[in-house]
Amino acid sequence: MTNPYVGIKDYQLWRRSVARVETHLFDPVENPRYKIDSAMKIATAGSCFAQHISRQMQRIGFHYLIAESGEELTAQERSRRNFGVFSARYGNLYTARQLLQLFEEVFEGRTPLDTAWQRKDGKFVDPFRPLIEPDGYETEEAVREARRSHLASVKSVFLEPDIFVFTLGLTEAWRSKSDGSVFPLAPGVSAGSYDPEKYEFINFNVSDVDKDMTLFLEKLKAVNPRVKVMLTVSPVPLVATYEDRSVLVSTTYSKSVLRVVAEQMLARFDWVDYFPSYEIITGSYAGGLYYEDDYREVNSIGVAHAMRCFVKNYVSRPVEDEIATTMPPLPETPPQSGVICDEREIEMMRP
Amino acid sequence: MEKWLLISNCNTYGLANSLKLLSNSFSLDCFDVFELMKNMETYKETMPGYDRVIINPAIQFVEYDFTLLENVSRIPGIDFDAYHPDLCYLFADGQRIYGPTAGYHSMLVFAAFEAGYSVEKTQRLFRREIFEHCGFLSRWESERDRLMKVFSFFNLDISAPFRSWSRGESFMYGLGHPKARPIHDVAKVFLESIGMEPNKSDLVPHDTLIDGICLPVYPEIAETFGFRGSRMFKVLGEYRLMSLEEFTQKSFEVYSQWAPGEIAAEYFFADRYNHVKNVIAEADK
Repeated sequence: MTNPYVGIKDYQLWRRSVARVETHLFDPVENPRYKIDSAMKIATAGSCFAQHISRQMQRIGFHYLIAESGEELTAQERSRRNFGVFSARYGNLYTARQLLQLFEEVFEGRTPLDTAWQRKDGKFVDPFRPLIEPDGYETEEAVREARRSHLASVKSVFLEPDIFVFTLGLTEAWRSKSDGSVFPLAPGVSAGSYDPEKYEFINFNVSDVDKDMTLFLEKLKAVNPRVKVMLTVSPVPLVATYEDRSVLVSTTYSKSVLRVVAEQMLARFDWVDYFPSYEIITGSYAGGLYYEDDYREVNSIGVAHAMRCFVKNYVSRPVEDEIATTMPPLPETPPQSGVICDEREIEMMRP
Repeated sequence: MEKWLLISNCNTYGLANSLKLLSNSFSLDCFDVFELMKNMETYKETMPGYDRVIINPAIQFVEYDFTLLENVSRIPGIDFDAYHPDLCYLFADGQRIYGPTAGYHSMLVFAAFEAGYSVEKTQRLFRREIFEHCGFLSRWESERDRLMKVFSFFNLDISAPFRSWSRGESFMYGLGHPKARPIHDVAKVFLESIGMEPNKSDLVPHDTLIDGICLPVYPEIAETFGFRGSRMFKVLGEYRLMSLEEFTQKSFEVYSQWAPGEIAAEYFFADRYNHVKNVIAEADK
């Protein structure tokens, strides 16, 4: 008697690869499609979880591509004005459609009808990155001018990287009824004004996201033939849903769609890989350990776990580095021996 | 009802309380190894009167042949250094040296002292890059395997509880000082190993080792093991924490009482200490 599961690998078995592994050692990455070395340029974009990835890439010492560096500013000012959060100052690109339309705006002359939204304080902001400039702009023209300059930088984010990391974040979005442009935030939330005649809610399905991602990846490869892409799905739940149901139910739908599409991209393009940070953070093995007290924000421990798996599996590292990080073992002792602490310490702990 | 006796190290009282909570089938007396040595003659007479004597195998250095007893069981202590790889013992004039955290010293602090660092410069050694090069982040697997091997030698399988101890927190205060839960789980595993069914209860006795020194797991090390960590050292016998700066300052005061070269790392830690010293020398270049 035999069955098809005889001889499968340990990582294919729950008990061996999940249940019997210490939480912090769990590693779901298998068969990465490429390795990354310190000479390769890496660019990032995506939802807010991608910000963690960006920070860690810089900390680890990768060649992290920053097309808008704000090098003339102080470090404090750069941070306040969101320089370096991603490879360019596009803010959070939550949906595949946002990514696609940004590409089309840079390379194909796509011109959105909405060019500036006014805030309550009278300042103007870019509808496609309304939080990027905390001070806002004095005029609509100033917003448009800043966007022109921004788009010139974004061009290099698509043309130059060897690795493009994109984190799929949401399926729910708001779009313009006039030209179909999708915004990161609903009009009226931080700027602009909600007019049901002009804007509508959309919850993308698998077919929509599949189409947008496929188009984007094909177009990206056409302008940057050496690029490899890493897709991740954000483990951060929705802060709010516009669907008339529980936000948790909407979260499950949204993440499921994105996870399915990531899988479809993996099947379609052999230069695209999927990094399972979503599984590392949300997996039942972690029991919620990797979320802050609001059960939504991912904590630094969870990010560190994801990045350990990333570095271990994707980073080419010289063997000498491995040797340098080990420690001489303590001399071997038989099981019959062990630690006896000082009497005066034991004294202190006697009842 | 059977009469049991437990003799162990600093784990004695936590282990005894756990065994009593976990079973109503025996009465239990206990004392630690130093008490045994003090009153050896008395205990030589009383020990054979017990139905079962449980010892920590590490206490077998005492001048008593435990094989003379009819029913001896062995429960090893939980020794685990992955959380505290910076720890070492130091000696001078053939005696162990005591500092702000009793006999426990930081290799980094002692190496910095020997290299002539200031307290402030020493603080700056406590960073990821140095820890990585010292090998402080790579102790887990070998320590886990060693611990499992020790317990397996005494037919105790602690692999399942071990995984739960390490979820989101450290389970050790120092090299040989576990928190209350691991001690309790070891007691449970022991009872099961001799065919006794433990009481169904979720009670865990109070933590007897928190009165001792509690060494921090440095944040960079803790992050690797899935929790946050600290740089605060708990002093002996008091509920008071010491900062890394205060710990370094007080350690330096102790070391300065000896002439250069008089203090050395104990044999057990010598290779590690030399490695740490080399890392610091390299970092200084």
